[in-house]
Amino acid sequence: MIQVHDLVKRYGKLVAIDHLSLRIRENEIYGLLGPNGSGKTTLINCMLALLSFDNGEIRIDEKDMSPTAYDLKQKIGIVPQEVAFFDELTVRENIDYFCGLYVRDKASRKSLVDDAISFTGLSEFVNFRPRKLSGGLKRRLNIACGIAHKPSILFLDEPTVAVDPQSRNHILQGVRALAKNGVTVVYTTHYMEEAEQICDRVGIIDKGQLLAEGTPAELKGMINTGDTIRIQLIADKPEALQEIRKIDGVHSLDVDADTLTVRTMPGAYVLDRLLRYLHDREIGYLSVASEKPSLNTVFLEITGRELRD
Amino acid sequence: MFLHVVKYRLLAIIRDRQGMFWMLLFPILLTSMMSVVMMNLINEDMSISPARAAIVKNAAWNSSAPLQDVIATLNADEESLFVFSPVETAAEAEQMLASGDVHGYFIPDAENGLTLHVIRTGFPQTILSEFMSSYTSQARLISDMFRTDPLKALALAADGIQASRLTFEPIDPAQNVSNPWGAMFFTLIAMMALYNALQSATESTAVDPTVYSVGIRQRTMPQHHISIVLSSFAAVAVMGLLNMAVYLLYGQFLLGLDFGLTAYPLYAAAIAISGVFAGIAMGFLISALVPGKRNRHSAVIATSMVMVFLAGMMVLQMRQIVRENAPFLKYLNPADMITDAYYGLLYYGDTARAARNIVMLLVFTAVCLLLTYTRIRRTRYEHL
Repeated sequence: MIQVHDLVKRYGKLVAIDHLSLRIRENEIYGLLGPNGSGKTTLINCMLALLSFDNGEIRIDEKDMSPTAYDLKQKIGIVPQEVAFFDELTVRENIDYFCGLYVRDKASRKSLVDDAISFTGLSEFVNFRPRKLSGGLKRRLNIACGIAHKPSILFLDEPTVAVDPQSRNHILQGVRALAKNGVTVVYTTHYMEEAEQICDRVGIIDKGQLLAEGTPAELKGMINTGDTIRIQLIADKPEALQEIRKIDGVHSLDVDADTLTVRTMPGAYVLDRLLRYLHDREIGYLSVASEKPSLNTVFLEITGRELRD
Repeated sequence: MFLHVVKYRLLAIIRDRQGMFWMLLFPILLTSMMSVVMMNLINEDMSISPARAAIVKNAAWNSSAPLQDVIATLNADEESLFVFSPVETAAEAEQMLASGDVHGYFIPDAENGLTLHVIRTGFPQTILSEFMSSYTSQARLISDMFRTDPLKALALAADGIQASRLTFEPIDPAQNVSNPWGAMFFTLIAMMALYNALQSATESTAVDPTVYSVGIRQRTMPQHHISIVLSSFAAVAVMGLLNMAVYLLYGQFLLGLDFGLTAYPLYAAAIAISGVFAGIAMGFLISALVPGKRNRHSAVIATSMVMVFLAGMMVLQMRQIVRENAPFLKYLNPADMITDAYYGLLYYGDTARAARNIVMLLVFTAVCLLLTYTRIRRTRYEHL
């Protein structure tokens, strides 16, 4: 459906996209996961022909994407990172305005606008101007403006930034529903939980390069660490902690103030031995938490830093 | 698509309270206030008698037959705004000025035309100053022409053009100019026209992905972005013309100002329409050159205000000063073109001058739009 081949985009000396290739399949939710400044938005803007690029090829439905590829643009919907609508128009007028740039027929447009309003849960607010909407409702309006013409490909660029949990859930459910209805979704985010929750496949991007790609389970299977155990200690950094590295099944150890973070080997059961070790040396602790590996763990192992660094 | 965009952009413009204030209410309020102030001035000061001036009969006077003709013509006209008293010496004129018999006196000068001497400021003195500027600049023009192209100057003389240009024409009541101080208001019409640039700057911003997220969305639509720009242009033009119509009708029929709607309706309308187009085009060009939404609005306001100032707002003589010192500016300043067109039309009944200014305004509009198009086509969005 979407093919990006050997894409290079430079801003002067800065290489924003560095020989990146990927393939997005029809009807899947493809997550582009990476920290801020990793090149996600630049990649999307190249795919949408908003930006020219220095090398490579972008094809959608086997056709080259370009600023004048209006037949392709007709199939595409976009939800930009910043909300994009007119403050002077009401919710309904905004949706109708943008939908009208794709669909000329008034009657069919009315039904499409109604569908978008209902889909995004904005029925009670159709006559409101955007400034009277909460942040979450503005985000929903932003989505409604992008999907009203029923695109077959939808680009969502961090649609849940600064959104309350209720609206976030509403948005994520909506994205899943769109995919079920046959829409191919390209979803950029730096929230790993979202990527795990809704994406069929995830591409991890950093410094303009695609570092890894696969389903969330496949990505987790690529790494050498298992569970992450966090223990909050009563005393700060007892000397004896360094010996924890010698416990069988421990992959790595971090000690930060009063928190001990132990990463285990995949499949290794370490918690029992770890707690016995602390007990034997009379090292007191306040709490213990164990987490399964996440995409953040994958990112950390691949790049050596956290997703939100 | 065209009508769809025009409809919604018009709706957005009408609902933009701040924009409507600057584009319609502010000019109406300013004009109303100025109208009241000017009417008081006229009632208290100006309606009493014409401006009185002495003129010294020195060697320059004796050698300038055209000047003597002008003074004689004005003195003979019963409805003239001037009463000139020729005197033998500057001392005599100085004495008349000191005693209040005249508002000022002129000393003819072979090199510089006329020099005005006053001891107070006020409306009679302003009229005398206007007379001096007009006479001096026209005399210098013909003198220069004799130096550089005597044949052309002689041809003009043969056509009798000199005589008419050397005459400072008073307002002709037959031309239905009910308010002789209307020139001040022509600059307000110019300001009103140029303020449309604010709206066109807003519209340009809405399709510019570098400064507004809506621009990103609009650039991904299956429409050529120039077609969206043109639809926005049409919406701004419709609104600008409606605002201008409301303003002119309000000024003419409620405030009693003369904007030429009864005497020269077609010319008055054509000047207003071409002025609105020039303002809109100027806004598009400024937006294409200046990055950032706020910077654009600031640049538009600053440019408009400088232009109307140079066209004579606040200081009526500014037009004359510009014409004498930087005559090329009149080709770059739509406010001056609008003011000059109304001035020529309503003070002199000069429809050719009005038509010339209308053409200049349309050329200005075309050049701005062409430059904007060229600039937009070359823009590459590298930092979205």
